Amino acid sequence: MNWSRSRVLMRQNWALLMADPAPIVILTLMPIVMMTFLEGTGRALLRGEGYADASGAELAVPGMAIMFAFFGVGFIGTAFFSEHGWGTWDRLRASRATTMEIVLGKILPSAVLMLGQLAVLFGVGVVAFGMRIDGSVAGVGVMMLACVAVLVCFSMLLTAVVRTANQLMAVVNLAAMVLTGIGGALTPVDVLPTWAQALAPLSPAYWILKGFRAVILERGGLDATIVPAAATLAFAGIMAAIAVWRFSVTDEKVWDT
Amino acid sequence: MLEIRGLTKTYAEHEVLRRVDLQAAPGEIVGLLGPNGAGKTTLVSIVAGLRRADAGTATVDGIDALAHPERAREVLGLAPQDLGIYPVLSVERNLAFFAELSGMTGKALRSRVTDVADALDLTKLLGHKAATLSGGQKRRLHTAMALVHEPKVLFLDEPTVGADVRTRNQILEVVRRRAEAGCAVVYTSHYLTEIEDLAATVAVLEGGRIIARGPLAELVAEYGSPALRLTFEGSAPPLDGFEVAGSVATLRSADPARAAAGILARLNGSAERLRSVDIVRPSLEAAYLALTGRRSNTDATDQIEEVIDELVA
Repeated sequence: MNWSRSRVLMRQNWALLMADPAPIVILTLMPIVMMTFLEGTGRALLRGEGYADASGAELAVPGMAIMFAFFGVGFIGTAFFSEHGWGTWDRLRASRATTMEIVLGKILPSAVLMLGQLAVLFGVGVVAFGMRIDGSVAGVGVMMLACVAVLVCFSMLLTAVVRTANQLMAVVNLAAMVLTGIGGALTPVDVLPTWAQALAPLSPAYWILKGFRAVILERGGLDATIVPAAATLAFAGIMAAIAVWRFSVTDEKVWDT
Repeated sequence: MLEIRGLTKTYAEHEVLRRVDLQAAPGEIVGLLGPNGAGKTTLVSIVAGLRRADAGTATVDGIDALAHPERAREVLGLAPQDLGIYPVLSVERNLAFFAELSGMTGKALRSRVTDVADALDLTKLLGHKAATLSGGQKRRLHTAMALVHEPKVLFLDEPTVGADVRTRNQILEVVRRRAEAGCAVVYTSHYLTEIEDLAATVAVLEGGRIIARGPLAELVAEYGSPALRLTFEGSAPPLDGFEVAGSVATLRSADPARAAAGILARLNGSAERLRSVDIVRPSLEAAYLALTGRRSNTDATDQIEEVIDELVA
């Protein structure tokens, strides 16, 4: 592992991401729009639970931020698929860069972008929607990092198993809706159908939102994030293991179908 | 510099490379020829570390490229057959990226990017996005990206496919200069005239085997005898002295032009099905034809349709 080469690869991939910022902007603006629609519902639900002075953003902001972060999984996969589409994948592999350096060079800029997306959305939640963080602010940071970790691993898993960019985007969209919906991003898990409540812990989004709820709404300290963050990282570990098992640099990926 | 011994590769049941031996000395250009599917790209891919070989050895600048591909890649340059550029980035960024990956920094990097851009007439385009370039400009950038880190062994896999004459000449000139600087070049192509222009050592790959290898002049002298080739609609008729393969009848002759007039008179009813008469001169094309039984994509033989028209008339 050569760090100066890794830096070159990361800078290159950052430049590639920034060359077309439209998807990033949309995935940051869309959840803000959705927050405005869902804030009132969140307020009603939280007041029903006894949080009399809740603005509703305490549910809407983490919920929408996580849902659209899941949609952002496509960024990392796209970073790999576009190399195949441009014919540069084999060039990269024939360069001095190792597979590990190439993969890290792809993942880290996208991870930073995801973290930035979450930070912006939570910041907007606090400033524009009056979201109060009653517990540990550091805990919010821990859950953001856990969230990015699982999303990075999820994107690597999908990149390893799907063959075309269209398949990737279809699976990302479906997974983002199902995993975050069942995890409580749209409505709290308590109001989901019974069968969905039973399945909710199988979604990493459930644990991420549980962690955010603990520190934002339930006045939890950093320790309140231990179980949800550990559960989220367990998902990340399983996904990473499958990705490593299935990922092959010689797989042909199709950008245009 | 490059030493390949007994390289073998099988995909499913199909043996793509069969104990291939190939060498390239410093400063030598090896023109690797062969029909589609002969195994040229597989050979290049294996040595460049993109595919695994089933058996054999490949040594690049003293490094075992199969056991230590990461070390071999430090001295290798590869321009794959398919265009590989970053369309959303500038020409300069495309070049600088691969120079940086090879460890170049600062002035050395800027100087090298300038030099390679200059050599391939890309200087005025350095600030342009690669997506906005013409086909020929993209092809030059694609080749420049393989040269920018000054590799000791360079693989160019059909580098002039789809290129115009100017681009082709520029690429050939750069290849010559790299060889003069001591680089060993493996140049795969269907365009035999390019191999002749480069005065390359020739290796012909057919069905996964190297069926001929040697200096261009020797190969042409040995296999490239002149011939008269008649192409018919449908199967070629049996003709005395001709080798018939499908719709093509070939006569090896020291003076094929003189033979043509006499032969046309003997065609009788088959004359109506005659579609072309080609004189194959002593050339790499003729040698290639003799070795593989196929024409290359280039039209190196002289089309003499006007002569046919006159003779038939």
